[in-house]
Amino acid sequence: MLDKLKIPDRHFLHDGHSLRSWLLTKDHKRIAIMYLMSISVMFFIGGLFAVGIRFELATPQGDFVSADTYNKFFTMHGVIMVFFFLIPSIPAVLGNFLIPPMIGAKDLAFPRINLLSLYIYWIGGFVTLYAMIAGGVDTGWTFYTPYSAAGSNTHVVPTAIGIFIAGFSSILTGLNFIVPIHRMRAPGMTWFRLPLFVWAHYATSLVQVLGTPVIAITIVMLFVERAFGFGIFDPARGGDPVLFQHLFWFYSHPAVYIMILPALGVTSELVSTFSRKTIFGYSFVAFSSLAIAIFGFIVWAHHMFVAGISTYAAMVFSFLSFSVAIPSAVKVFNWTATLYKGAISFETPMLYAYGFMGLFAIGGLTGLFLATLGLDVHMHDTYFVVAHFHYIMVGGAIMGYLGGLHFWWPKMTGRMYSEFFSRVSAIMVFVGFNITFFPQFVVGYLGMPRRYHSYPDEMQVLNVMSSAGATVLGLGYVLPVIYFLYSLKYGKVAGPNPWGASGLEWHMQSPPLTENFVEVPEVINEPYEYEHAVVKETHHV
Amino acid sequence: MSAEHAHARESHGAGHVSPISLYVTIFLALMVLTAVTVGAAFVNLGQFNFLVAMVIAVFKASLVVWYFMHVKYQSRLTKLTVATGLFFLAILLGLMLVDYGSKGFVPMPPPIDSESVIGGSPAAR
Amino acid sequence: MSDTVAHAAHHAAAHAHHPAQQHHFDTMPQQKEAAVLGMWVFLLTEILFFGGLFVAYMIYRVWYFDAFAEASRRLSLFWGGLNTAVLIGSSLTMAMAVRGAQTNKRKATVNWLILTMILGTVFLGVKVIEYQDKFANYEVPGPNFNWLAHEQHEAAAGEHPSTALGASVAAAPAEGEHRKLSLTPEQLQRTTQIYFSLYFTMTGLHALHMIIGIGLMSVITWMAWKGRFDGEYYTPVEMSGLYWHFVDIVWIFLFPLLYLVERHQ
Repeated sequence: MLDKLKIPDRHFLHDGHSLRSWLLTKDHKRIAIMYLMSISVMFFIGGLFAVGIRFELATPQGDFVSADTYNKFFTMHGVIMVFFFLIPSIPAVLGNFLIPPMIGAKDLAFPRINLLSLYIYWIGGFVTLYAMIAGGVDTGWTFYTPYSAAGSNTHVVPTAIGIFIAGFSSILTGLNFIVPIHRMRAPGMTWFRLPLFVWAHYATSLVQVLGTPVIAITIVMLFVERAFGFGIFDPARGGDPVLFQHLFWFYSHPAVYIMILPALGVTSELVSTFSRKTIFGYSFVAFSSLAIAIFGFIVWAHHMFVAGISTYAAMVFSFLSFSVAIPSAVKVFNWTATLYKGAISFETPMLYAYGFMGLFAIGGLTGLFLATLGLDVHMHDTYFVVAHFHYIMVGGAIMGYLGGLHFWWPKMTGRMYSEFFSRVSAIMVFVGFNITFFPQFVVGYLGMPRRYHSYPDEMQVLNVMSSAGATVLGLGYVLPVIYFLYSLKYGKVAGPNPWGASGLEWHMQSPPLTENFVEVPEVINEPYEYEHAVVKETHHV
Repeated sequence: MSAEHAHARESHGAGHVSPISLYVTIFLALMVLTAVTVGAAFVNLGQFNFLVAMVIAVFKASLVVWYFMHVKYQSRLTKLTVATGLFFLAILLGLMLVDYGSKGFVPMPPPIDSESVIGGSPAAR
Repeated sequence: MSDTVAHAAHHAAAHAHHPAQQHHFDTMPQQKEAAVLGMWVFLLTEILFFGGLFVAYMIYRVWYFDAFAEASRRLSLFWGGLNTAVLIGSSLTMAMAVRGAQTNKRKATVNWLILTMILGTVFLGVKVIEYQDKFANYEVPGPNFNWLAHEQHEAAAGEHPSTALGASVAAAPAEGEHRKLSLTPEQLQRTTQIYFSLYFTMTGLHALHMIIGIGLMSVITWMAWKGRFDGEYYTPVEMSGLYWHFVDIVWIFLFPLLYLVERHQ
């Protein structure tokens, strides 16, 4: 019944082999691949700092590095992971690659601006890495004044400039998604036929476009204070350090939604595909992405409960923070309802999706604990917070990213990877993650402060557990590099739709043509029409 | 998009061309409003000086957006985009004022010793 | 899985493509709409960018109103007003330039664009004059800031102190016309620095945007000169116009906020 599959002769990876054809490309798929390589490098650099942190914290005394150096470790870990890995990750790699075919377009709205966003990312990355090599920064990724403006004698300015530059990359990516989703959908592709992945990225792009400029201006204000001696946040001249925190968190809280919304979109795709069922409550899930994006802008001061805001403001923000959990919960309920009586399977992408759902639920619920004023007074700046956000960012966002990468790898490369090793690595990631971060909830509740390189002796057992888990987690992250690279040459040919998934992208060949579609398709079906599926799709377009 | 729809859009390819008289009128209106703003600043209206100045400025900005930037003749989506930016700016200001307002707009007291910024300002070194 | 898409040939293949139409768009109007929407989304980011500064200004203005009022009176209403007129005029010339491109008038377009750039340069020149004055009067925040320098010069020149601050320095009670300030000279020395920090950051950022705008416009002018635009494709001119008008709008707010805090004394 099946023809022997082979890689098509003409595809986007073959359209020009020179370095110039890559560095001057306008093809969103090539740009996505280059982003993939860049953020992977950044991920491992950020990971190295994590290794340093966990190594130090394996013993209660601060004996591996000095306190100042340790401060630099967690600062660089945070800066690189947040700004140079998590924020670009899914949008710049999977979003760039998939949004045009998912909406039935030949490219994003502004291909050259897409390339520019990549170059800007590289420049920002180089500036920040320069700052790191020149001696690093020790303010924490949150750069609170007055320490960052006046007290610290580390390389605040170049790091801040690097982040500022990278912010433009984020803005341009978001802009490049909003426009085609509005104006370049294929005939028949109405808003409510769009994959939930697209809805999620639309919501993410709104946040990128509206939030990033505020941290940009905050960095400008920090820069003029540090470089010129202006006094916007200087208490000695009447400035307010809490103002810095307000402006910083106005972006940085929505930023966490930039980091998680795309993963939520990926999970919707995975859950639907691997339970062979239409997503339950499609419009609720679609609108929940928008709700998260919008609500995410009105909760920022829950990072500042003990910073000096008024009790009244703290109560307002606490209440609003509870509300933002609701749309997230809607998604989890709808995925569960989708799985119910679905034809569930356990391919690697789905393993990541299962892991995501559980870990995201834990991360989200612990966020509610922290949104509760009374509890936050006790747990602010402890490892409870660290565990909470790592459950979302690593257990959530990174697992969503890996799940998506494993799902769409055959589409991007035309090859399947080793299912055995990919499952092993998914399980290692899940197990290693939990051993690393669950103990941190406990030590945090017991009072272990974050950003300290030493701690009381009685907390050592849990910290050693955490460091041991980090080793397993790290190995789980290294494995995919190996089997993915191996698959490029030796992987089984995938064909256009190895998973039997729905969505326009699966109607392209694998790897796709540069122009995506030979003819622009006209969409006549609703999304996720798995109920009509009989056999896995294997015909060529 | 159907072929008819595409044709209708084609004929609007040039976009709306405003008459020169409109542009000159808007320009003059902006100049007059600027003069009014300056004049009003010299009248003691107490708390309302600020409000008057801002209302006039918002009106001037609206004229520029509506006519010079052609938003009047653009799609609903463009209009919605403008409104969205203003909405989120309002959120930024509004929610910050919840904090500062509920502290009575009392500035934080200056340090006892003005030089006691941690580590000293780099500029002062 | 059943065939979920019908492949219909849907190009605008019947029409010859305008040379400026990019391959991933179906029609020129679609391309133009995408460009306009993209530009507005970018301007959204600029609204939030400057917005952060405006918000910081608002908070501090309420906190230190007297200091802001005092400092604002130091700015030259003449230069500020002139610059406002110049910038509004440049918006008019920019709108005329876009109109020229829309109506296929190549030379008019070029001339209006050049006029806009000239007016923009005049604005920047005035800003140089204003900044120089600030530097000379020790009004740049930082280690050289000296709030009382201006007063000391005036007193030395035998002029009457023009503010209640000067009056209190002379240890005389404030006259009926002057509202008595609630801040000591030492407090003013500190808190007016916040005003000037915001002044320089806001106007500096604005000036930077104008320089970029003038740079962009010189490229557009060259393209217009080369005849790259016509009634169907003048998008770059329109985009520069949107950018330039936005820069004007920022100044429309900066002018009253910085120059007109309290002038009724």
